Amino acid sequence: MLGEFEYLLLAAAVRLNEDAYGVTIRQQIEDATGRRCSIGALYTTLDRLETKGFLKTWMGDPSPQRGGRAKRLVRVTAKGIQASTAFYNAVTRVSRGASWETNRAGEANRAEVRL
Amino acid sequence: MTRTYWWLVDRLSRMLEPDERDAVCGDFAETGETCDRAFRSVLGLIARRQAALWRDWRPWLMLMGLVAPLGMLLSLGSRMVAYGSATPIWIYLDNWTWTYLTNAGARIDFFTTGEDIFKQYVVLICWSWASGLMLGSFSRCTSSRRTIPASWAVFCLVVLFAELLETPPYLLPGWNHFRNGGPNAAVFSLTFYSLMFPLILQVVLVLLPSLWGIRQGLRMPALPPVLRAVLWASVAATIAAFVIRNWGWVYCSLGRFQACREWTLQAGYAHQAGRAESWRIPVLPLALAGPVGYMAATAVWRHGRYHTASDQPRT
Repeated sequence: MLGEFEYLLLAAAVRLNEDAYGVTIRQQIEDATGRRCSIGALYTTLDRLETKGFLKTWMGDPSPQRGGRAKRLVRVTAKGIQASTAFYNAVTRVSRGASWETNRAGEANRAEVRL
Repeated sequence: MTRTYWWLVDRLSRMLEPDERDAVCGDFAETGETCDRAFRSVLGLIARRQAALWRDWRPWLMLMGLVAPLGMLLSLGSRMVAYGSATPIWIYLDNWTWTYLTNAGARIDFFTTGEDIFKQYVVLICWSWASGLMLGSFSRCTSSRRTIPASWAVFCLVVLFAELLETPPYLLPGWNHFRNGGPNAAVFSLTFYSLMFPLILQVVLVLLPSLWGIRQGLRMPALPPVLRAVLWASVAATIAAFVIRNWGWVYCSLGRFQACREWTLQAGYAHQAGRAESWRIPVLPLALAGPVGYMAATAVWRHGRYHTASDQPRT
């Protein structure tokens, strides 16, 4: 089972697809959660997920925009997608009937009626 | 200030793996991170990496089995050398007169004392270097290379502040001899000789040579078995002599005065009328054995490699 931050990271990497690397993943997570994502948390979690086989990382080419340094590019593996799906389904199932979930469903219905 | 911060970030980031360092520093450049945030980020990442490394048992074994005991003994040994050499140095530096050189008897005393102090300092440097070499190469063998900065920091703390864990010196029987009304009171009543001088010696004769030894231990080439045996036999001789000549100081630091007194008499550090010291080892040759063994082994290895390379047919 994934942890919360691991799921956020995998989801961000899948959304970014070819453009998934340190800076963009951090940006996605910060935008989604409204919280600061530290470099320490990001890179140690990347290592952990790679060890578990949920993603694969490799060094890209150096670019002048990055002061001649390379990016650590990320790609989520099939095993990572499977684990993320399982996590998402579990969260969805366990949230059914919770007050925030019903409120959210009500809001969605009201939005549909307005349309 | 900003430049200092970036310099610090750069130095700190060297504790990361090269690829990770590249990725992290590139991220800073791309996002235009402020220097203080970059500093905190690198520090956070290093802390997490170190925490992960220290979950293994091997760095702890290194710390408890080598770093702490060697640091403790070097701390004790260096302080004893400092206290022993403070009085002659005070005599010749603070009370210099040309009579020390013009008078034949005083001149002999001057050179004999100088030689003694010089030998003691060389021995201390060799002990420290050999301890560092052992720490460095053991870290490399046990793949805990990345824990070396933290281990060395602990080693420095132990060397410099082990005194705080010991019996307060004013409880030691010889303390009055040093400070209050004893023959050396003039020396040890000065803050420089009682406090600064031992610290200077610990930094110059212990910490710097041990750091040098660690660097050489980490970078040591893969020597052939015979050379490795020669090197480690000589380093073992140095370390063994160091332990034999210093372990008894632990009695003194724990406040076991009778055992301490007995040990200093046996080891020849103190004298008692009508009693000869029980054992004596050739301290200087054994201390030099480690560095000489290292230089010989690496020189032979380089020579052999040079000849192997020059014997290759040119294509």
